[in-house]
Order: sequence, then structure tokens, then C-alpha cells
Amino acid sequence: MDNNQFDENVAFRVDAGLIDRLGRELVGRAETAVSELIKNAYDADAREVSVTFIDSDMTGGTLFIEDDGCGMTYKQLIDGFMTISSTDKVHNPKSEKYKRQRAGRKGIGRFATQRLGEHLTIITQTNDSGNAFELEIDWKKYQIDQDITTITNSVRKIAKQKDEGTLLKISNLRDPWTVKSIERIYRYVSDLFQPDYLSDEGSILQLANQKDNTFQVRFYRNADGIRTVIADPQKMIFDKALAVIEGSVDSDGKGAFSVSSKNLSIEDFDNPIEYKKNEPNYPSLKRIHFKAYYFIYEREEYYAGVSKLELRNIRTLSEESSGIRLYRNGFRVLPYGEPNDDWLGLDIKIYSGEKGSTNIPYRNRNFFGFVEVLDIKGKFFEETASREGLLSNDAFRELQHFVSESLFSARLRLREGVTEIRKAGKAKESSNKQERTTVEELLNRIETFVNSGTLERKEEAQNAVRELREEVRLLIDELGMIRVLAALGLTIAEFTHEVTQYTPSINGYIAALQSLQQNAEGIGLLEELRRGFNNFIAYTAYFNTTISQNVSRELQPIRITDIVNRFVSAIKGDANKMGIEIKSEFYGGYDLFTVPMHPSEWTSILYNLYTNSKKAIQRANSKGIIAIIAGEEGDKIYIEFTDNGDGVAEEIKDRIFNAFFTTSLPAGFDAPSDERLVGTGLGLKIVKDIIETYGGKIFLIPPETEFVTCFRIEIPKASSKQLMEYGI
Amino acid sequence: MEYRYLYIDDWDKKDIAGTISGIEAGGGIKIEHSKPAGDWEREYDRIAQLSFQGVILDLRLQEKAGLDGNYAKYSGAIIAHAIREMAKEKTINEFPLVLFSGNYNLQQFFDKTGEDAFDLRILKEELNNNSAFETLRLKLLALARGYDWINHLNRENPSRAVEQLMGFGYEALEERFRQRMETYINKPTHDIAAFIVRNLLEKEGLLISEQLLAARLGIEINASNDWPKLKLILNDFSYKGVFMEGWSRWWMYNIEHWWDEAIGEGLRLQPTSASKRVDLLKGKLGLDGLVPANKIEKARSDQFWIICQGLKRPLDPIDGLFVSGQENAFPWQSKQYVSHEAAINRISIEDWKDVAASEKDKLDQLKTFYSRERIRR
Repeated sequence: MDNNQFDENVAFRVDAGLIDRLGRELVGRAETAVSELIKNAYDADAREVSVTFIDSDMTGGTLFIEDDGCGMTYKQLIDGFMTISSTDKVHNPKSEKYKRQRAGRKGIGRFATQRLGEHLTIITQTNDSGNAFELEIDWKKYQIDQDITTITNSVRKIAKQKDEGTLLKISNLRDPWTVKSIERIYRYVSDLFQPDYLSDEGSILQLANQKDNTFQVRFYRNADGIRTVIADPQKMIFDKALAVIEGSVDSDGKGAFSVSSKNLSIEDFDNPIEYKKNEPNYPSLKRIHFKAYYFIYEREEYYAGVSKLELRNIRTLSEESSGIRLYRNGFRVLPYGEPNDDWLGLDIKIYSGEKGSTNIPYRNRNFFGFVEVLDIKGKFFEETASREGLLSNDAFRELQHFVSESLFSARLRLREGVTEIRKAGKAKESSNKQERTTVEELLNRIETFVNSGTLERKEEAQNAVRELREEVRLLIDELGMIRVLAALGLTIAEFTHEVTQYTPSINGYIAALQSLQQNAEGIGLLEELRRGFNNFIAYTAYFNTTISQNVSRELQPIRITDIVNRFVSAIKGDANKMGIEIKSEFYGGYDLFTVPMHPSEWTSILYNLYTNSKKAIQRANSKGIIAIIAGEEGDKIYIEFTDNGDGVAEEIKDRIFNAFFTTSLPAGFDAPSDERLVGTGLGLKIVKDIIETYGGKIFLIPPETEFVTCFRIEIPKASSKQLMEYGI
Repeated sequence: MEYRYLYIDDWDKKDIAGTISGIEAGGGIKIEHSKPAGDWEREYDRIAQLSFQGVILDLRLQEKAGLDGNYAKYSGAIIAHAIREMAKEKTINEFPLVLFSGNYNLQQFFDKTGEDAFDLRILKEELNNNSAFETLRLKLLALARGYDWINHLNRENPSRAVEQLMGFGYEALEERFRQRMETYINKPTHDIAAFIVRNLLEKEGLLISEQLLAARLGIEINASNDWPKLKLILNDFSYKGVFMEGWSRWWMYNIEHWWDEAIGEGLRLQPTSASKRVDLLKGKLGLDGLVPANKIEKARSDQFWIICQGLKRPLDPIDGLFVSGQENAFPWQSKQYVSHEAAINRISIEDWKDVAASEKDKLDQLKTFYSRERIRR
């Protein structure tokens, strides 16, 4: 420019080097650039985008981004793409065809291409145009010390390549793009949109839908003329999951889930989830589907074909990508499933009954999953104004209920499986899974080796040590749970003691009221109150006595008639309240003594069996009868606990004594805490353990007429020597 | 007049107010609650100075802080003993002591020691209905009034004193009892009270309870509408001596005499069957609403004379087993039995504990005889 030229009207001039600067500052990372371009395709109502990296292991490669969106007209090219800082997106927050919320940031696209490579070619065509436009930009031309307006780029009309859409060809890539980096960006982008590992059911649901407002991104890599699809590494990982939990709610609102795990031998399909007791179908929630892949870290022995390292990698991945995500009509709804989000209450739901079961960690981190919701008309779910989540309406709450219920029901099943697998151990192909080598035997083997020192004994001993270690681990786990329950027991002891202190006073008030009352109705009510209160007291007094009896830790031969009679009189009130008749019968002699035991252990046994019978009767909806029949046979005392409930299904007969097996549905989201403790699945296991410790047995036998289920317990009789020892 | 009891309990008033209301409901008794004074001296001073006609003590006084914020270092039993000592030394007046405890086991402990300073021992959990409170109230009333009576008794002439206490004609009293009673007259009031309550009122013998009365007349109380009428007829023979308000009793001697004179038609009471007894009563008294009592299972005779300690129903001693622990019974006291049914099934065993050693073999035989065969349905 001439130093002497003077213009009265001056305009801003822009240095071309600004392009480069803006590019770097606005776009930053290469991944961001690629994702911005994909977002632009999304905003253009594309349904499919393919991203192909060609010979990109080193810099200088080429990147193709092709979409089937609405493309650009010449005018749009000029006004939009070629105009920096266009306000198009501010004016149109939603896309034209599918009314999508704009995903891309304002006016970044061009800079994204500049950031990625030195050369850009755009080929774009719209539906109703007769031809396509090809625009070429050489970003190298945009150097500093050049007025941006002086640099031109060529635009040509060419034949239409396809119906509509845009192809970006970015060449001379500035960064190397290895498989790993492509995978990374694939993941980055996938975060935004529903992953392509949709279940069949999901795609069936989708295909059934007329308007296919979907969005699919595919990544490819061409190297040396060979094209490979970049699959999401996550997908491969998911095939390694310990268990897969899947569920759906159909158009009638009926919900069911299934859980499967090859390693844990679980194939449990079509388990219904009821919304409420008298309303099993969900009123507002329809047509949703979820799938969750479950992992337990640090336990590679549970898996088949997963190394410690792989599991560790998955764990690292879980720090960012785990959780259960929510996709609505194919698009991710934030913040559900984000690292700190807990919309299903997985992290928070550690109530005391569950705390002991560290075997089945159940936090968001253990899941990679998604929930897909089909709500094309937007009838059931609404986004909040800030676009951060959905409104907490009925449908959403039911959704939370369904998914969390399914997951927690599945957990019970998993617990069983894991416990079994730990028991079986990976030591040997032992066909006889029932026999657990006792600690005694194992120690004996070791001792034999130590004494004999022969080589063959050594191997035996080594095996024994290994088994012992596993045994100890199992015991410690069980101990953990038992400690929890024991602590509870102690609290109950305190509680029942305190309760009995208050009873005379309350009874006094009732008596005083009764003496004041002249009115017949009043008298009746007071009598009901008195009776009800005394039932309550009888119940707690029973436990009070049991506990105070057990202050000494000594064993004593148990007179079974006394134990049963005391139990029956204590819970009679409770049973009658539920319309259950409870009776006891005794046969044989009158001095039925078991080997020395703890009296309070009988409380546990009888009470556990009683609770199970109660539940069975409730499920059967029958006029309940429970009978406790005791007698003697040979050198054994037997107790049969029998009821007319809904029975034990044939297929679970051999599982009911397993730790954590339960047929109780887990307590609901907002269930009271006592409901949550019931159905821990440990009741029968504990009962069995107690009985077996004393050399006894518990098993199911065919019931007598008018009954449906019968548990038979056999305990050795006290010998006359033992009776003498205890002064009986 | 109202009798005032002091109730010492480490619990707060609001937590035991209900119990007090229940007891006071029928009137005649006023209970004042106080926390333990915290130290011995003050406790006695307090009791000595205040004018109460009785003291109720909770056994455990150490669970919660007392009046001065300290925890009592003594139990109810200790206070009771000390009070009795002071009464002996005439430092304070004599009044009834009642023990409240919530622990069955501790109560048992007192039974064994025999050193019981209490006139009455109540298990809190037994106060679970209207009539239990009413019964307690009457006993408290009876004790307070009775102590007063005994305190003012002229003890110069023992036989006269006994007569006054018994409210009854001297000659009719059983010889051995009378003699024994006379020896107590010059003992402290609480010793006299204890003797009367424990050995006369609480044990069937010279005096019998309503339940035993019905059994001996062969009557089922719950089924007999005219039982109240019959009791009225027998009112002359009811106990009107000291503590009568708290213990409804009848003089057995008089009942039998009355039967022989007016009802029996030559048949003695004991050897007559229950149904015959009731027939005679109905006939002679014109009371239709009398129903004979039923035999307990496994019992063969209905010549009821005692109550089964297990089932609390009428029993002929021939059908029962002697209960243990009666070696030291007084001769005028009736023996206690438990029916075969209750014995082999250990029904209410807390009430009778065990059969006498001499009966153990018989019990074993019964158990074998009645052993049951299981037939699967």
C-alpha cells in the first residue's frame, strides 16, 4: 500500500493468518474437530455418517466425512460456510427435518476442517438441486500478512453424487491417526449418540417405527488399500462381561427381565417385574428396553478367557464410561449415566442387609449399560428446560423403578451364582460338588505330609493348603455377613429388654381407662387395645427370654417340647393376626432331648422356618395352617415344620439352602427397611448350618395330607451320659 | 380413708405413671413416686419422716440416676432389709413393703433365700390386664390396713390377739395353727404379717381360695351362672380377719361343717363325685345355674379335692403327683399336686417346678404308658 494514499472511508481488514489462529483456539484438539464435523452432519438431519481415515498412521493422511443430511445449496455454502461467524445456528436452534436440537457449536465447522488438515474439499448437494457443488480450500494459502478477502477458493458445479448430503475430504492431515486414536474418537463420538450395539429387540422396536429419526456413525480405516471397520473396543469388551442383564416393558406396560451368565451358569429368562402388588403393569411406562453388562473387578477367576490385565483395563475404562445411560429416540439424554450420576440409586442403595455382600459389588461402576426409550411423539418423557435430563414425571419414575428393580432382582441371582462358583473353586474338575472337604481333613493331609515327608504326600499337602486358603476365604466372607446379623441380634436384645420395662406402665393406663369407662363401645375398644398390646408384648418377651437365657454361652441338651411350646405361644398372636392357625404335636416319649445346643439357636431355626411358611401362605392366599410335629425315631429327634403355602417348586428344591438364594422380590425403591431385610436369602442357609454343626440334617419330605411343604429336621438325641452330665 | 404408698423407683415419673394410674384406678390407694435418694442415710431419713402407710420398691435402683443425680448404690432388697431392722429396733413404724421387679429370675432368687423382707412380690409383666391391677390394689389396701390393725393390736393376751386377728371364733381354729400363731404375737408386726400372708393366706389349708372352694364343691365356675349366689350363701364362712380385703378366702372347716349339716344328706364331701355334689347343691339350695367340673385328661376320678398346679383345674389327689419342695409345709397346709397330664407335658412347669422325688418313678412309668405312636396321614 502506498504510504501517501489517503482514504476517507476505511474498513476493517482481516489478516488471513487469523484463520489459523481461530482454528487452533476455537477447536483445540483434533478429536474435537472431528466430533464437531460429525455434529454438523447431525444438525443437517443426517441419518448416517461415515468417517474414513486413509493411510493416516503418519501425518499427511486423508480423512473423508460423508453424510446423508440435507446438504447445502450454493447460497448456504456462501452465506453459511464461507461466512465467518455466521449466526445461522442462533436463529435456528432446531434442525429442519427432524427438529433435532443443534449439537454443533456455532460456526466452528470450517475451523475444524482447517485444524485437521491442510486441504479441504467439500462436495455437497441438496434434494431438489440438479447438481452438486464442489468447493476446494487450500488452508496453506491463508498466511499471515495477507488480507483475507484477497484469497479465493474455487467452486464448481458437478454432477450429483447422490440424492442429498455432504462429503468432506480433508487431506494432508496434520496429525497421525493410529487405530488407537481412531478408536478413541469413536468412543468420544459414541458418547453422544446411541451406540450401535443395540439389542435386536431395540432395533425391532425401531424398525417398527415409521419415521426413522436415527443417527448412526461408522468409522473406517483404510491402510494399504485394505478397509477395516473400527468397531467400538467397548463392544468387544462387553462380550466379556460376567453377566448380561436385559429387560423390557411392552406396549401394555408389562415388564420383565432376564439375566444370563455363562460362567455363573445362570440362564434366567422372562422374570416379571411388578409395578405394584395389585397393579402389576406399569400405567405410564411403555416400550422401553435396557441392557446392562455387569463386571466384577479384581476377580478374573470368575471369568472365562479374561486376563487380569484385561479386567484391569476395563476397570480403568469404567472410571469414565461406566454407568447406565439413557437414550431417548436414539439420542443420549444427559446427565444420566455420567460419572457422578446415580439416577437408578445404585450407589446409594447400600442398606445394611446388603452391606455384607461384598461379593456382588453393585455400583454404577460395575455396569456398562443403556436404557433405550422410544417416545417418538414425546408423549411420555419430556426434557427439562435446560436440556439437562428429563422431567420427573410418572413415566420417568416408573422407568427408574423398572430398571432398578430388574437390576436388584438380578443381583440376587448373581449372588447365588457367585457363591456357588466360589465354593466349587477352580481347583479341580470335581464332579462331586456337594462334598466340601472339611477343614479337619485338610489339616490332616498336611499333617500326614509333615510327618511322612514323602513326595506324594507333599503334593497332597500343597493341594490341601490351597483348598484351605479358599475355605478360609469363604469363611471370612460368611463371617462378615454373620457379624452384621449378630450385631443386629445384640441390638434386638437391648431393644426387647427396654420394651418390657415400659409395659407395666402402659398396662396401667389401659387398666385405669377400663375402670373409668362406662360406655359399652369404649369398653370393647379398650379390651381390643389391651389384647393387642399383650400380643405385642408376648412377642418381644419371647425374644427377651431367649436372649437372657443365652447369656451363658454354654450348650445344653434341648428339650424339644419346651422349645416348641414356647415358640408357639409366643408367635400365636402374630399368626392369628394373619389368619394362620398354628399347632404343635408330639409323639414318642415325653423326654425328647437333643444333643447339647444353644437354646437361642432354636429360636433362629423355628423363626426362620416360620417366616418362610408365612410368606408361602401369603403367596398361596390360602387359609394358612402351620404344624410343628416333633418326636423321636431311633437315636434321633425329629422336628417337622409343615405348612399349606404355595410349596417349593421342583426346580429350586436343591437350591433353597444355598447362601443368598431367595424367591422374595427385593424391596422396592422406597420400601421400609424391615421389608428390605426379609428375604436376604440367608435364612435357610443359617438354619442348615446350625443343624449340621450338631450333626443333624434338614431336608424336604412329602407332606401329610392337607399340607403342601414339609421341612424335616433330624438332630441326634442326647445320650444318657450327656443327660447325666447336665444333671437331667 | 386413703392409704398412701411411697414408690421408690429409679425410673422417671412419666415412665411409670401408667402403672400408678392403673393401680389407683379403683380408689383407696394413693401412690407417690420418688427416685432413690442416692445414699443410705438420706433414704432412711426420708422414709422415717414421711408418713406413708406402705412402701413399694423397685428391685433395681441402679439403672438410672437418683434424686441427687447420683446412681443409687443399693437395691430395693437392701433398703427393705434395713427398714425391717429399724422397725425391729423401733426406730421407725412398721408398714408393708412391696417389691416390684421386672425379672423373673431375680424373683426366683428370693424364693430360695427364704429371707424375704417383702410382704408382696409383684412381677411387672404380670400386670397385663384390668383385673391384675385391681387385685394388686386390693392387696395393697389390705396390707396397709392390716399393718395398721396389727400395730394397734393389744398383745397382752396372745390367744385373744389371735382371735382378733383371725376375726374368728377361737375354738374353731386348728390346734397347731393356733399354737404357732400365738408364738408370733409378740414378734414385730412384719413377722406376724409375713407369717399370716405366706402360711395362711397364700397356701391352701385352713383357708381356701375361691378356685379350691369351687373344686371341692365340684363346681365349674365359668359355666355356673349361680356361682355368685352360692358365694353369697357362703358368706358367713368367708375370711374376715386381717388382710381380708386382699385375699378372698373361706374357712374350710366351716364349709365342711355346713355341707354335713345342710347339704350332704349323710354323704361326706370328699368321697362324693362332683356331679353328685352339684346335684345335692342344686336340690338343697334351689340354684339351677350350677355345672359340675370336668375331669382333666387322663384323670379317672371326679372326687375333686385339689387343684392341679399345672392346669389350674380340679383334681382328685389320686390322679395327681406330689409336687416337690413341700417338705417344710405346715401340717395345716394342703398338699400340692400336679395332674398326670400336666406332669408328663410339663404344662406351666414354672409354677410347680418338679414332682417330688418319691414320685419320679411313677412319672417315668406314666411317660412310657402314654407315649404316642406317630401315624402319618
